Amino acid sequence: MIELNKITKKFTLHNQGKTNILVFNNLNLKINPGEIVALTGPSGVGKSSILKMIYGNYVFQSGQIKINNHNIDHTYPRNIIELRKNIIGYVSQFLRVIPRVPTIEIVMEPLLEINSDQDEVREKAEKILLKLNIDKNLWNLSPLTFSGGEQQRVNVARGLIRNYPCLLLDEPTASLDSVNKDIVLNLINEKKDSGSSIIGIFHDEYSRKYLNAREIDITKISDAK
Amino acid sequence: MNNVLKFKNKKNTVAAQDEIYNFAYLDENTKRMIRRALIKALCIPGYQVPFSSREMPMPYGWGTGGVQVTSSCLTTDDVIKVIDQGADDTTNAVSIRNFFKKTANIKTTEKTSQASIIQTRHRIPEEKLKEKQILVYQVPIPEPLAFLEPRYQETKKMHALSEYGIMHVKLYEDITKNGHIETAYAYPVKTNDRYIMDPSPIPKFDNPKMNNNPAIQLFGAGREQRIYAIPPYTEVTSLDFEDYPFDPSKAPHKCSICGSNESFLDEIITDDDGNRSFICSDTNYCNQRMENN
Amino acid sequence: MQPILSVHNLNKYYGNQVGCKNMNLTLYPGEVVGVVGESGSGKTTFINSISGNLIPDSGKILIETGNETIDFLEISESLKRLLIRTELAFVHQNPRDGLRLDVSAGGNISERLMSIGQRNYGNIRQTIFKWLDKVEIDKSRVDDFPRTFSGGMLQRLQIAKNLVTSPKIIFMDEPTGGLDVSVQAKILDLLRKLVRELNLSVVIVSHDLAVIRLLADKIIVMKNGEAVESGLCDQVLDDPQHSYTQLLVSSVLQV
Repeated sequence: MIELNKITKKFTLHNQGKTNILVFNNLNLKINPGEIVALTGPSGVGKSSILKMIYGNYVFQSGQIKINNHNIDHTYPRNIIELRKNIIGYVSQFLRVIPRVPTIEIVMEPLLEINSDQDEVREKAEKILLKLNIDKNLWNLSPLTFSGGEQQRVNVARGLIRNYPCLLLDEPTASLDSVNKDIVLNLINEKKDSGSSIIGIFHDEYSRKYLNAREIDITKISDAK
Repeated sequence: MNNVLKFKNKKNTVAAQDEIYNFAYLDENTKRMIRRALIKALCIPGYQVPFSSREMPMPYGWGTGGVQVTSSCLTTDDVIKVIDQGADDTTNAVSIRNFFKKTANIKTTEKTSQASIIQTRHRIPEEKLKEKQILVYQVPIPEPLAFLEPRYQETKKMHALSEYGIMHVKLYEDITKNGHIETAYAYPVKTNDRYIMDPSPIPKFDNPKMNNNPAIQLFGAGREQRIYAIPPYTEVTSLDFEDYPFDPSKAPHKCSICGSNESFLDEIITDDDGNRSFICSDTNYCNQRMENN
Repeated sequence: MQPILSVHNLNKYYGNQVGCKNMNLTLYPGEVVGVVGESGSGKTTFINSISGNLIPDSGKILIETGNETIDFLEISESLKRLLIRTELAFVHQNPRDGLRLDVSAGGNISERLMSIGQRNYGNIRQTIFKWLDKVEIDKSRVDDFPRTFSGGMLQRLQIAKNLVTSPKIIFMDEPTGGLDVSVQAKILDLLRKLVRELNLSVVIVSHDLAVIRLLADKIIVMKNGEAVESGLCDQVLDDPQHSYTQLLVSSVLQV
């Protein structure tokens, strides 16, 4: 369960004349287990910012964010690290990895945090890579040289290899062809059916409908203009 | 002419101690200072005690440390023996023996068993030492850690805190390079299970003789201004690894003079064709075996 | 869970000059804390002050060993040095500062083992080979002198030398500084793997925000000897609150 209560978020740009940008005011949102929420609204309205606040990347000035009843509280970074380790998964739009690390290891990494059995983890990573149509020949190469679609699927594999109770998805299907898109969407549906609370940004109507997502237009739930 | 006569005269009469010198050359205050250092050294086996080394009438590296220690221990009743690499008849040994003959008018001997003080460079006599004998070593570099850790302040701390891991690095390097511990002299020891000590450049063959020895063992380093000691019956162990134990081996030959199988040998090249023979490095030991046979 | 290392109000002055001032840090087991800031901001003074290389003027450093909490600035010199060569490790920017160049690679790795009393050559060799493998140095180089190694290999050797006794806390001062980018990537990958595999707790100093982003869980941003901002690493880098951090983040070249 993900809950946002009365969130205020603003950016203060100290080096640009102390400009204040109010992004959200009195933002309220709740995602139940087994539910997918799709954020909509024009670009620049703060869809990604919501995900980043939930994941702890962005601070907020007032209000409360609760993940399975744990507060996101930046005075205790340790707690957020623990939440990320155990509860929140995040599939970002871009792949950010250390150069020269093989794909298979990148996919294995999140699972290794909770399971030290290398062989078992490798098996699971191979399974999900196969499912996502990543050619076997690529597994031992760094994904940094892959095509956009391949990179995205590696990112999805890495994010979905574990069963997080809460899942944040930032355009997980943006650069995929229709076949692979369906595969990824099916994987997301599996996570939903297993009881995850999922919130995401999906650029296309097709994905939102496929996932049977509850659509929320951000401009309607925040007072900020 | 006069001088020559004087010299001759002295030789003939084995003159009394030369009046110009205080007994055994050093003044009494210096001896007292050195004796204090010696007592401290005996109380803390293997610990290097600094002392204010004096200018001696011989260059550094010729045994100034040993001579100062010997000088501070001498009494009129003592009988002194001096060896250099085991030999009584080499230049350094003869000079130092004469030095004490001249400055202390003291009895000298070449027989290990008859000496009360033995000053040595780089050997321990083959014959077992007894209680009430003193063995004085001449030491060039007293700090066993010096070759691995050049900072003196740091080595002092390492000793104080028993941080001796680095000593084994040296032995480790030996084994990796040579398949066995190659260090054959100045082989580091641990004294009384506490201080790591440089035994001076004696062959590792002599290391076991230091252990539990009834005699007092004193070490003097003149240039480096350090004194250290092993009291009688003190445990002295050579550093090693479990799977590469210390091995006090020597050349696998017999002495070609006395035929001894047990003594430490010097290798001598006998001609230009590279022929060689081995003889005892301890001349007194070798001579006595010849006399007894 | 108890923090393995906590630093409270640490100050270090060089005469009237501020080295670092009023610094705090909490490090939990398995956590990586990055310290960033421009040259002269006091990063190195800070890491040296908390690792025993420098004596701070005031403050408190507590180290949790599992059985007891050690007040690092109050303990005896001997216990401090024992900790430094068993529970703590320091990886220097220049590997030559942390290695003995006239001792073979294997000898370098073995030193800490022997200093804690290991006396079996065969076992020590085994451990050395295991660590060469971990840091991806070819086993055949075990008896070579570090001076024949490349910069990246030297750094990996220094890491092996430090980690061989499984220290609880590792301090790193610009461990990838001075290495070309491809070597840097390999070292970063190695460090990440080791952190996870051995559950290492690390304090790492770097001026390179990308390095810190890849390695660190938490971050401290320093300026003029003081921490201007600290917190969760990607939060501070993604949503910096202090004007200096904003400037620092926006100054990074995008590739």
